[in-house]
Amino acid sequence: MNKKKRDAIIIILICNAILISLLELIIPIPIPVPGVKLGLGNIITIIAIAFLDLKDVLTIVLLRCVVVAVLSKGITVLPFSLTGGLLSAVIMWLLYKYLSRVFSIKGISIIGAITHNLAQLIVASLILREIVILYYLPILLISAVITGLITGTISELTVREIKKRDIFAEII
Amino acid sequence: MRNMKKLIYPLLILSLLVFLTGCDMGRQKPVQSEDFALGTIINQQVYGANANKASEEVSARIKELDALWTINSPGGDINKLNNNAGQGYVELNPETVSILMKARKISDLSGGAAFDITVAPLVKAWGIGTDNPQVPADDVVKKLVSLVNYQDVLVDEATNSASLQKTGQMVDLGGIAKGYIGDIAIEIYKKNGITSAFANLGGNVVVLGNKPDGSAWKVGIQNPRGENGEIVGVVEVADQAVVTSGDYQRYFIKDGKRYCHIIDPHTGYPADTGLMSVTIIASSSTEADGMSKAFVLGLEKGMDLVKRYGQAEAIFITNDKKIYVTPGLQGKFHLEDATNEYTYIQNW
Amino acid sequence: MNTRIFKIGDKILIVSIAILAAVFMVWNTVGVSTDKKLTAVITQNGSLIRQINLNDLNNPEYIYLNEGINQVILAEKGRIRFIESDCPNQTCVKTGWLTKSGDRAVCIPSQVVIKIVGDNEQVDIFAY
Repeated sequence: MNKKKRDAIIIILICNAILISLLELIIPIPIPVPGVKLGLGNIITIIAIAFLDLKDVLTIVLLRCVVVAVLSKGITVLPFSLTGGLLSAVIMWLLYKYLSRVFSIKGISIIGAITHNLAQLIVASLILREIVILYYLPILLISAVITGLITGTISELTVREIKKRDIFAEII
Repeated sequence: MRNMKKLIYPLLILSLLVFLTGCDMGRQKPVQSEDFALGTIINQQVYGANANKASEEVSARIKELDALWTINSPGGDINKLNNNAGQGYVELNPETVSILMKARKISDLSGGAAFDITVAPLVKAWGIGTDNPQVPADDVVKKLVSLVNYQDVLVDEATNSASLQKTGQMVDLGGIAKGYIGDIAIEIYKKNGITSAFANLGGNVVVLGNKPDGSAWKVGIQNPRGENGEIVGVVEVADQAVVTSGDYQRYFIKDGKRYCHIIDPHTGYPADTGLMSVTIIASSSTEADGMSKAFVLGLEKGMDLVKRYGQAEAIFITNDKKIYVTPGLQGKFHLEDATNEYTYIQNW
Repeated sequence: MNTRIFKIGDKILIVSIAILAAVFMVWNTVGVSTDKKLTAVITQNGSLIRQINLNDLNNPEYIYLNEGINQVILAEKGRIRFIESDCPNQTCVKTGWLTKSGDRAVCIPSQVVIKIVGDNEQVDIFAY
């Protein structure tokens, strides 16, 4: 196993995650519910889950959230996005490792999106001390499915191609 | 072609989800916002996808116009106009010109007997609503009344300028500004594709469309002698404004007599013609605001004015707690008086 | 096309979410509006700070506001008020208890507004 190459790939993934997340902020989404977003950064997370350790995956997610928060001057949203990001990464990793027969990457991505949104809503409720959740649940679930499907399909295709071409052969 | 079959199932589910999304978005919680401006609180409740954008646009416009038309803070067009009274034309913002013209049109309806924006010097002398209300001496009132004449506000639309003829004259848009801004709010909502919303500008209500569930908006009419929020009746409206002028809004009591803030332009004294409040319901919020000064004329002349205007319904509440409504409101106005002290006079 | 293959878990997931979402939507419309709510809404500068269901409050709750002007709001079952304020006029505190829909207390210096909203059977908006 080539550690240097592995580290290099991790760094590339981190940069890509940050880039994608920042680009995503520029795209306006017409749905006025807190926490609804495309979640394209998850594509990177899933790629990491498919080829790296959980430790590496969490590192990538952590750095992505922190850097994006700093660069977009949205430091205040950090507790929300970090909780959601890390939690959904863990759950997706578990699903990928143990339930790959039951769920395709699409399904895993959807569950990841739901977890991410749910975690954000829960943190928001705790901070505002109010049960914000219940009213927004339906729309959040539905948008998680739709965005999860989109990013999941893209992730699935990407992972398949990477495997087919053995791009990460040296680090697995 | 088995691949095609496999497509249908997920596509169906996807379209179901998109449909549900649409349903849920349509049923959204409204965007509620509050602004402090025009000396009062302005509430908005807007439904729809662009609700946030629309209500923010309205808030911004309110603040702009508040600064433009205030006479309680320096700057703005009205101060400019007032400071140059008797000295010819001054250039003004087109929106100011527009509201001055609308004000004139409304004053024309009663020949200046009810609504007249040049009552400002009198309003200032009485000070009702400030910390120092007082009863001015008779000769002071007489002198100031000579300064009241809406026809002395000359407007030149072509050059966006206006002039107050006599030195000492003053204009106050307080009696029409909220109404005018209500109409602007509706325009902004419509421009943003909103179909259901309302704005409450310090008691001046303006609604767009019906409620999201299709039923008419129910607007409560304040009990002139009750606490804030105690109503005497409810009126159902859609795409209309509801504006009330009453003797309970700003007043002071001296030697057992109530002096309200609505000054009779002809006598110079607070209106005292047997009414506690007049509520006008019309599709133009600006005109509803101006017409509500029919309060000055009393029940008969006031109702007459409303009839001649022809584009509004009205609710007159007299000192003896009787409620008179125009024929067009029968069926839309419901007596809801918890105190049981008011009588709804139908078919009078 | 290979990518169109949904595994069994995916299908169950999507269908159950669709059902769940539909159920929640129905619940939100029907289940919530049956009892007469008394909700206090606290805003500052127009933005919502707190929303409290006064009927659900079994123990009194103190809310401390420290942005600019120090204020304390007391919420009890069925009523709420400003109880302390550093503002010069004390109008907000003098307003006293807010107990029914439409009641409101305002502090202009701090731009804090407490108002009671909630399913008033007959009225959507108050003209005054």
